[in-house]
Amino acid sequence: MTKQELEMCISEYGRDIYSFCVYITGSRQLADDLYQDTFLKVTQLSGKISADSNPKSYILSVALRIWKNHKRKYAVRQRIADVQCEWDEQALMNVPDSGAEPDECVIRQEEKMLVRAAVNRLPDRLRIVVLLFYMSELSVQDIARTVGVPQGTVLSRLHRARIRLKDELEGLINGKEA
Amino acid sequence: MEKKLDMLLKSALEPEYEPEVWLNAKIVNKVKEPMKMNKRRRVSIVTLVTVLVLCVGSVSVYAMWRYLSPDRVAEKTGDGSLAAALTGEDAVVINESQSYGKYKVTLMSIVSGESLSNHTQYHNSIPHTDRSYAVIAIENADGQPLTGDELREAGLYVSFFVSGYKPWQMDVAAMAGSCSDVDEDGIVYRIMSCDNIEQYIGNELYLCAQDGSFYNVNAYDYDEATGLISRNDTYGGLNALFDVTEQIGRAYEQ
Repeated sequence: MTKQELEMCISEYGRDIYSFCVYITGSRQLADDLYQDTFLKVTQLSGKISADSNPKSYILSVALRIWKNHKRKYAVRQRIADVQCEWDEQALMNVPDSGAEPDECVIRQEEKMLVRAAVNRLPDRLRIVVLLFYMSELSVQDIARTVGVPQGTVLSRLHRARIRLKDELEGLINGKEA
Repeated sequence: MEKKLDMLLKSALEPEYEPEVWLNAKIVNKVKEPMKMNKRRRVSIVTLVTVLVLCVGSVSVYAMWRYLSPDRVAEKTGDGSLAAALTGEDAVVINESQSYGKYKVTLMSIVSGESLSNHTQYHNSIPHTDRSYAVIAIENADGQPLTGDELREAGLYVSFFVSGYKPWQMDVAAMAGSCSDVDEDGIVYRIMSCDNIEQYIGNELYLCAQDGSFYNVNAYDYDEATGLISRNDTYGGLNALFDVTEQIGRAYEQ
């Protein structure tokens, strides 16, 4: 992969890949490492990416594989309670929606924090498919390829994740429906 | 309820995090650039042709040798110490030319280090002794003689750029820069000095030569996502950009 191709790749998918790295590691610092390792690996495997019909899902699968293989290095789950505050602070630092009243922005940020925390409490195998479906907006087919499981398994995991999230976020959802 | 949950999840899990510019630049820098090897190979072929032509005494070969050497340029500014540094082992000989607008610019040599010059540069009364010096030659692209007065009137802006840093925020002016010109035989030589560029090794390093006295935002493009800098092809004047990352990096390692 030439530098130019890598630059185009980063320009096109950098934000999505980095956000995914932040969500699965739970820390900007660890996300930096994972993001860098992912793109360096992608440049080594560049022949595969050009043949892939969905480069984003391919890059995400590389990130996922690296994260799984080096979970100790990215050791987040055991520290998730410690970094939760950092993560929430990061979320709060995001620019609020333009045109919204300040109170509405605070409410939305609080909602985001609750939802993200609920997603974070899911077991890894459910959390990953939720992130790939809602955050990365991959199709079920692409998620299946990214994670390396059958499509039926992806649907089943999404379904189970939704049930758990519905229970956890019932108050929030009912509040919206009211 | 399903729809509400979907909306909540989509909204809360939006990809909101951006990698820092320096992180993207670091990744891109780690990728070896095969094109650079080709460029060196092309230079080698040119050198070979030049040697062959020299044997039969062509006038065009004489043209290559009409430049003053970088150390001679420094001597003419009264800086014997810098002249010695430019012939030393730390000097990076580049000799690459680019022609844009009405000018041809040749980046001849770069040298960096502590106290290389007879002259001490002060910035806000603080001496800046750890410096980088770049020697360039500028001439009219049509071969007509160029004088120092003409160039001073048109203006010439020479600066290092560093990937990850916006050129309009970090350039020769921000790096305690200074310059001196030597006018000889229709060519103007400039020695540009600034704070040592080697502190940015790990980033892409460039040297630019642009018409006008200050940085022109229309002359170069800065990519916010990767931090990389490139020429703007639509700019009508001189906007040469030399990628000196490898040369400076190699010199630093040696």
